[in-house]
Amino acid sequence: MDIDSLLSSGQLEQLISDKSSLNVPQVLATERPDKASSYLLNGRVVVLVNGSPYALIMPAILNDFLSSPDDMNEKSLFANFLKFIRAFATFLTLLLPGLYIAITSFHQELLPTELLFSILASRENVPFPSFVEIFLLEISFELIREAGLRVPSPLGPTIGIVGALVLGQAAVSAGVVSPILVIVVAITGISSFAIPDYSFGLHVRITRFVFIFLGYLCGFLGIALGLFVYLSMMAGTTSFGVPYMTGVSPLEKEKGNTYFLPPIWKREYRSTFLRSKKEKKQADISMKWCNGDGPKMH
Amino acid sequence: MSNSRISVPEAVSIILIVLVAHTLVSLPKNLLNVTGSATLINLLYVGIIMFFLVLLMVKLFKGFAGQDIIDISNFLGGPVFQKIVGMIFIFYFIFSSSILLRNFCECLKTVYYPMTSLFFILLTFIIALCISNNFNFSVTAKINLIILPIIFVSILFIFFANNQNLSFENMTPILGNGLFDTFVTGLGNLGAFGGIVFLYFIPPYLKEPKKFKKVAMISICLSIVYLIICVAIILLTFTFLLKVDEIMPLYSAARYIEFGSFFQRLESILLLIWIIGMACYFSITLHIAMNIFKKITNIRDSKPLLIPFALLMLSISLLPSNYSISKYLETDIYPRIVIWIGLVLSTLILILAYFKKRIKTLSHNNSQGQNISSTISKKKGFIGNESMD
Amino acid sequence: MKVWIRRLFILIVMIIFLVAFSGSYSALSIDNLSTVVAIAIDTSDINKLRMSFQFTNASSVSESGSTEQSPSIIYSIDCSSISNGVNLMNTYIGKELNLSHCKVIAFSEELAMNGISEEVYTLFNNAQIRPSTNVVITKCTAKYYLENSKPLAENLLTKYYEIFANSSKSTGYTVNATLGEFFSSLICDSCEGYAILGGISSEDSESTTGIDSQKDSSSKANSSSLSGKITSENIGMAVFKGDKLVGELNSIETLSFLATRNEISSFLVSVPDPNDSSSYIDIYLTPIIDSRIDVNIVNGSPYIEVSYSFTGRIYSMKANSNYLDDDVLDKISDSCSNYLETVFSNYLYKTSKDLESDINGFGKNAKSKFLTTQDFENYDWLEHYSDSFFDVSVDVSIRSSYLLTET
Repeated sequence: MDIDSLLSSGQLEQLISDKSSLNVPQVLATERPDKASSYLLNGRVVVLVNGSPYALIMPAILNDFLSSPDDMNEKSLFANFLKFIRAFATFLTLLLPGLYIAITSFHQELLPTELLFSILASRENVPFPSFVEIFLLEISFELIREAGLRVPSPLGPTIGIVGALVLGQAAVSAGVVSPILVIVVAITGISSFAIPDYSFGLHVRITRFVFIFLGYLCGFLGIALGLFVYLSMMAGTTSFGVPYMTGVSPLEKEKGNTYFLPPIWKREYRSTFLRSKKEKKQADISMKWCNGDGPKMH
Repeated sequence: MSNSRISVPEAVSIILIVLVAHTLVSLPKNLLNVTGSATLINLLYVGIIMFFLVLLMVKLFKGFAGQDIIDISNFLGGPVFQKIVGMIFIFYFIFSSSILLRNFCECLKTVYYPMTSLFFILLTFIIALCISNNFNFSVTAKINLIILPIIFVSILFIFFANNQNLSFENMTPILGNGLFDTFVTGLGNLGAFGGIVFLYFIPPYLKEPKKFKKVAMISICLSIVYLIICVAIILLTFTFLLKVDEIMPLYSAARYIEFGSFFQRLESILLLIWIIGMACYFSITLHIAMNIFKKITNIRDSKPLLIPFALLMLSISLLPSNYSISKYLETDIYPRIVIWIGLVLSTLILILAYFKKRIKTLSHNNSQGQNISSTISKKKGFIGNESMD
Repeated sequence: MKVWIRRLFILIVMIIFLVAFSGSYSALSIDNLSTVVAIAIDTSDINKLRMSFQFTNASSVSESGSTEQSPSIIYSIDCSSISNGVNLMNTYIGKELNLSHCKVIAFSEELAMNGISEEVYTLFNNAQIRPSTNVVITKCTAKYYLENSKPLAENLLTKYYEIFANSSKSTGYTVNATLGEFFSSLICDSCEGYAILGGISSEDSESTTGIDSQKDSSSKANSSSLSGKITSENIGMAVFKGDKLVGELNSIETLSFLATRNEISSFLVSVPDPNDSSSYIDIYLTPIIDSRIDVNIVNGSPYIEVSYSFTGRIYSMKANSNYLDDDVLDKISDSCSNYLETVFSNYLYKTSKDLESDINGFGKNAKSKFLTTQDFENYDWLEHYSDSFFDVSVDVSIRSSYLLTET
């Protein structure tokens, strides 16, 4: 690289990442030494930049951006439950506003009758179409979120709460937006906080606007085709030669690549896409005091 | 090319998505129209025939590991024959996917977009295909592998959610429209297995060409099971669908699903999943058609062909002037094309190529044997001459 | 430059698509729709049909307190066909009608007697109308029925419409007749259609109950014993032959229908007390297994064997009852079995001889006796159903009573 200076690992990340039309992050950035060492032991490459607190881990696939280092420390049942919650949160962040627009614009028969009447009643005095409403609210939410980062720390949480609650309530009382939409946007915002990786969360937050537009444009057809194109682009993305969506489908028989974790005594292989020198990281029976039937109860 | 190789599950899902795409539009009804209440028996009968056909195909393909039907036709009849066969298959893929696209968009327009011109609904699909087909084949195969189990679950969901309407008496009279219709005319239902045609083009894409037999066997078995479930949904739950033509019978079946007063009218969600499945199917056929053209014209990169082929697909889907013509093409012409081009022509090419290869191998062995014996006799003569001295 | 051309192209495509899909958006957007919860179709003096559409005021549904009932608005129009009626109503109210939440379609008795196939086909052809919409045949005008559809125990009209037909599973006095099933019966050559029988109770009902409790089970819509507020009532069912109304069934006959078709989970019957012929015992019965139906063709006529199996508990109690005694329970079981055999048998013969309508769908069971569809069609089951003979057997086993076993 022929550059004058490199001040942070974030800049290095942008310089070495492959071109991606989706702008998904292809490198994991972490401040946690245990996360970096865990990935290093599993066969990834870790890059440290002098002076920057972030370590870069590569190659990074989709599963990595939805995983937390604490998953390894919990029993697999709890870890998988949390992974499911995160995956669901990503789905909600990406698609909930778009689905809401699609349903209210083209597919109202999906709504239970009483809910439909609630929505109709709440929208009676609102002057804007639902697309403008949702756009306004989403942009306001992003403004509040960004402003909350810059406000001095004693006031930060208060401003966030005041901004969200008071502004939302005032907007509903003034008849500018409908209460149901405030709920939709709030759930979307909360779900975005459940995404462990900040960069990936940013990417999802931006992409949801595309789905909002597609849902407004042609309902479920737009969302379905948008999802198809999005998944194709994501599957076509590579992170340092590794396909981004490796291990997403449970039918793919590749060892060590699944999103949901097996119990720790079954995690015998490193991810096959890493082509590490030593593929097996655990013996078949790693707990030598067992006779092959699992831990003995005393 | 190594990046566009696919694994066994991906290959199986490609074969199955073809069947799934056609069942979502009108295939179960087409089968029921021919054989009536005996359709399930007919499907078992036709499925067994198809199974043996696939076994034969696998055996014939053994001598041509890693090659598809286009390469085999080149071996059989030279470049000219290869080009003819290639053009026939391009026509087959583009025609079948265009007509299916047209019918599916007609159904969408009827249900959800009454005020929108059909052209724009078609164009939406074409634009999505143009974007997604910029990537290589394995990308579409990956998406397909993710979406196909979800579609299967949705079909099973329709089946089990309608279980209170299930009535096995709908399978009677046991012979349906008669023995002749069930077992002779019913052979036309072989056209339901359009996915098997894709098996002829899968070998070059496989990561491990040796696993082609596994791909073929799993595909045909799952195809038969899936078809039986789809037809059972229609036949066992809705008698009237035997006598009335409804658009998208599976969608009509999904309209009956109700769980209490909250979970009702869920067919739109199923349609969202099915649209992604249809897009996968169109993407795969477009990929294969472009690849065939690339092979027969020896061009280096098939990406510039994307937009012309997509526009060709759009044009053909706009050709029928109304729904009844496109329905006729889907229900009557498509199954015949599957049988004649997909099954008969391909099997003939394989058989002839197989025998040609055997003859070549035998004659090569014979000529090698003659060479060895002449070499030995020359040596003996030389030694004899030496001994004479 | 290439990037800018590409971006411009994408922008132009987006604008074109916005314009192209805006038509469907404005037709289907939630703000431009008026939701219909029920439709009533009557004969008209001015035109062919008189259609009434029932709407609910959305704001009152969401804000009304628990004591208020949500008001409904009914508009009527005379029209030549259903599609014309919908079209005219769109014009009058200024918004597009949304029929996907229509729960009930009511036809007047007068219209039903002339045949309703055209209306049913048109309704089923509509992409919005659900196959699960209930079909009601009203003894009064359908519009009057809708006007008086005020739920007694429900606040929301839409909720009432959703759940009123579900009472068929536990009482057996009404049916959950849907548009999908009715349409299916019009096409089917092995069954006939049926609908819910609806009517209006009056403030001072001429009570038909009296002391004889048998009268409870012979009630029908428009003649029930309910008194008080004027409200709609759905008791009994309407029987069709083809698309024409040919008769009605009262509550006990409706119960027999549901028991034959295995669409009832539990019900209450009053059977004669074996020890005292002037009194009755109320028994709560539950089917043990599905009713078994066997159809044979004997000398060209259908011979239908139907066997039912129930288990029950004694609901009513009086002094000096001993329901711990096996003999007593056996006697009550026999009495119940005999009673139900008579009731079911009467019902089956009524459908065969009086109404000549196979609403039970025995034709589907008969199909297994034919080899091909052509043979079955040549036999013409629906015409031969009136020649049917029935062999009904009912097996009831009474377990006990409820909390009290002996007094």
